[in-house]
Amino acid sequence: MTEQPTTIPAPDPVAASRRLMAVSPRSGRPGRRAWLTCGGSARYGPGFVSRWAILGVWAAMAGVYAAVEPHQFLQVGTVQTIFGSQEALVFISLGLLATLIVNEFDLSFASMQGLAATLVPVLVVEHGWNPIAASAVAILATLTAGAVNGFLVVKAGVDRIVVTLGMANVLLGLALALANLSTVSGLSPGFARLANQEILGLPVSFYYGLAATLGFAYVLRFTPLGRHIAFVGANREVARLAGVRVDRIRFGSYVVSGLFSGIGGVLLVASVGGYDPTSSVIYLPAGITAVFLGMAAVRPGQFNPIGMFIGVYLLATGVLGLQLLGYTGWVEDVFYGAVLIVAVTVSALLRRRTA
Amino acid sequence: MLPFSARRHRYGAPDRPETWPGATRPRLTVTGMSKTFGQSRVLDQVSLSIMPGEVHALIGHNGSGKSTFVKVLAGFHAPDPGCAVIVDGERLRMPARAAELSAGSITFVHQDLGLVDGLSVTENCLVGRFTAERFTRRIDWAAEHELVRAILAGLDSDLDPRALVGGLSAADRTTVAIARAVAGRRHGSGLIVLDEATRALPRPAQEHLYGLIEGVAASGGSVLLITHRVGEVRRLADRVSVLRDGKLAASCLATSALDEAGLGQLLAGRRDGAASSALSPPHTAAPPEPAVTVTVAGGSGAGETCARVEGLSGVALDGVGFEVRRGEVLGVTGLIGSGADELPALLSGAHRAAAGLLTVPAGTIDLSRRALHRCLDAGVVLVPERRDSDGLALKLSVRENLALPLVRRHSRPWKVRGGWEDELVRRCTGELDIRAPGGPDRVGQHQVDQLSGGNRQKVLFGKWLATGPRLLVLHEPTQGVDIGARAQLLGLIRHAAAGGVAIVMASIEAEDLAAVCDRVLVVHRGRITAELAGPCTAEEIIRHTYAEPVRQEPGAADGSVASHKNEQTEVPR
Repeated sequence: MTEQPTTIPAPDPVAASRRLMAVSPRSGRPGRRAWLTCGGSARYGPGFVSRWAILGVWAAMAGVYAAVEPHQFLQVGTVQTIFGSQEALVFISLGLLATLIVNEFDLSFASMQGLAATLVPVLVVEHGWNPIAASAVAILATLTAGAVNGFLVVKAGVDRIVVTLGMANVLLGLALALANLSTVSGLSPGFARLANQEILGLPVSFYYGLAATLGFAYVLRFTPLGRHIAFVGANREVARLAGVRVDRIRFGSYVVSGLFSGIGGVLLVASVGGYDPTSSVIYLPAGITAVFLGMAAVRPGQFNPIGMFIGVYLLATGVLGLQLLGYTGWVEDVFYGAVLIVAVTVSALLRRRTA
Repeated sequence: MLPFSARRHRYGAPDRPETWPGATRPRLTVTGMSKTFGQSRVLDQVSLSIMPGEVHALIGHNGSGKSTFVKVLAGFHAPDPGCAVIVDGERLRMPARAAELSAGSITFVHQDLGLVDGLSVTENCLVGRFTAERFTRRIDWAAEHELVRAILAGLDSDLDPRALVGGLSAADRTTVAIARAVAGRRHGSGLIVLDEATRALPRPAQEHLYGLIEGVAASGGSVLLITHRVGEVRRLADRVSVLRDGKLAASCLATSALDEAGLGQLLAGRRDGAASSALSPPHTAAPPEPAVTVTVAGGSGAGETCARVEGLSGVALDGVGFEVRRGEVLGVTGLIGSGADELPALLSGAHRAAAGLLTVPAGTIDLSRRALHRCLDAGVVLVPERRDSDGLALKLSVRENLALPLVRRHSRPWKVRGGWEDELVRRCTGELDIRAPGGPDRVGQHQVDQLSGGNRQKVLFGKWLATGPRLLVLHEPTQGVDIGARAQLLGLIRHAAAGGVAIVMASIEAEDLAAVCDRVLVVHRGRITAELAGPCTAEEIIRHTYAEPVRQEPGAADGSVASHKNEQTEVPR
């Protein structure tokens, strides 16, 4: 490598002039790109500021709340609430992300979580099962639902929105039936420790979510499988012609979505002690918002787990702050919806800049 | 008014259209149309004019900019500044707007005809211009059907306007598409742009379409015929413009002054030699060779048979067989729709063939099953024609694209080996001379869509050469690349062959085939009609490509079955 000349050898005039032509129009109008990339030197991916701007937004939001409601917001309990209550959302968002990065879409993740969260207390409280066995069965159930989604979309070629939306309704109804249309609760405190054991002031389930996110990010970024996934998401035909088993990866994404949703459901019901299946509905916009919000960070314009993780806690901060200000009940819906639109708009703009 | 074609012989000076008698001003004048995508200039200062009643042909190979021209004219793309499009004396605002185009009676018939199968002939013809009744805003269907019936009658067709388009034959579908174009113009005016509309039509339907075009011209309308078929140009066009690499190689020539061979040469663009100075014909004056080889397992061993193909059939291909030896570059050429253009995907297992066996040293592969993975395992790889949609993931980095086919083999399941990737990128960059802004050390980090066409193609070559292929299938390997990169790519092809790879190169670029191929097969209507052995010239290849093959004797049963079958399968759906 050191023997290689540093300049391009034997410059031929044609290519040289082409390169000149090619570069000048871009450098001629730096101002248009600069506001998002902030003059970042890297031409592959926008600059540092846009990658981490979301943290600034988060800090600004926290700052506003701290200024308006210093007595309630600036409490250790607030931080614990924000970071200790979102592990289920982290897991189901990871599930949704797993499908989105390969250009699929699973709308049934919230209902799969609801099914798992209902199955556990029903089996344990009403049928006297061991909680661990009940959790395993619950996760198995969501895995099966994911596999059915995957089969119908990938093998049978049915539209993914139709399949997963239908699956979402079926599973929601099943969960309601299992729970007899009411809240099921009565799980033992011992089982709750699985999720609520405190480490450094935060429940252990926060660390589960963090570990899953980092592990997922590692797989995507550093493993051959992650490369294949990136190509399936970017261009299926290119991936297929290079020998990547595209259909297996697509199918697998639905199964992984089922897996993560199931884990999210088990953790949710373990930490709370019981579950009302009708509350599944709120997790759908929350998960979608978190994933798309994550697109505006870390790897702008691309779905990525770490951005999504930040997005989850940014959303939690926003909702909690609004609740502390006295807006309750309806505020989550409005907030999630508004942030979703803003996040998608921003990432569409980012994508246009990088295009 | 006399149709323009009847007066063709009277015009000696095609470069001064404003002096033509009978027409005060051109129907359409385009001046200085350029279009740049990213770093590549696809159209470069294209100017032409079309007179009323004229059939004007615009010809050129794939990637010459024909379709971009049409898309700019139709308003899909905005042209670079400095372009003027003048219709009947009125200058259109750019990018073109649909409303202004239809006000100027410019209509388009695109390649796929753009018909909606589930709707009736009337609905397809009049879409966008139904007249609603004054008070009820209801469409008077009886009147509309009658209108369409009249238009169709003008085209010598007695189709039922109520019939669903989905049930019509290819010829009738063409009629409907033309009727729609005609419906939008005032009589004796207007311009119909036919973008490769005959591409997928069976022969009788083509004849039918030619008749329709002549009728439109005879009534004073103008036709811009975008095509690659020389025969069509000779048959229909009054004047012809030739696009090559985005530039006009010939502008507004009268076709009466040209014969078929002359047109073929214009298309290949080599008569004056100016555009091709970088490439001299056969490989005696060798293209520059890279210093080191990226390729090949196990030495040269040229001469032994590497792959044998038997009975390969697809949509148009009909039982083709041939052999390729190690170190040999076998060219395959033929007109679009002849089957030559589907051969690469079938041969490499990318698409499923109707039938066919591929025998390589690793064994025999049945190409009529899912053969892709077996082909890849046996070292049969494809450099596809559509580089940007099938070849490379534009939004991922050069590094990731180069590593894709090998990333699993050269890494542990839990970690891509960065060192191996660095080495791969470094070697490919150096040996294939891939260039990107920021110098050779930064090539790997760029997104592929930041590279020029030639450099993208080099990345694609590198990606597959690095796998050490045994049979390399190339499809239009020099499409959309500049002349310098083209010479380098052709050099790479020769070099890979010298390293012992067997290469099948399907291309319609006669000049490229002449430069690198040891043998050239010419495909006509699904069959190999000629084999040009030994170094041959571009002129020979063009002559065989455009020549009608000798008719099959009436007694040859399988021949008549085959041609019948082709006409069935060529119908576009």
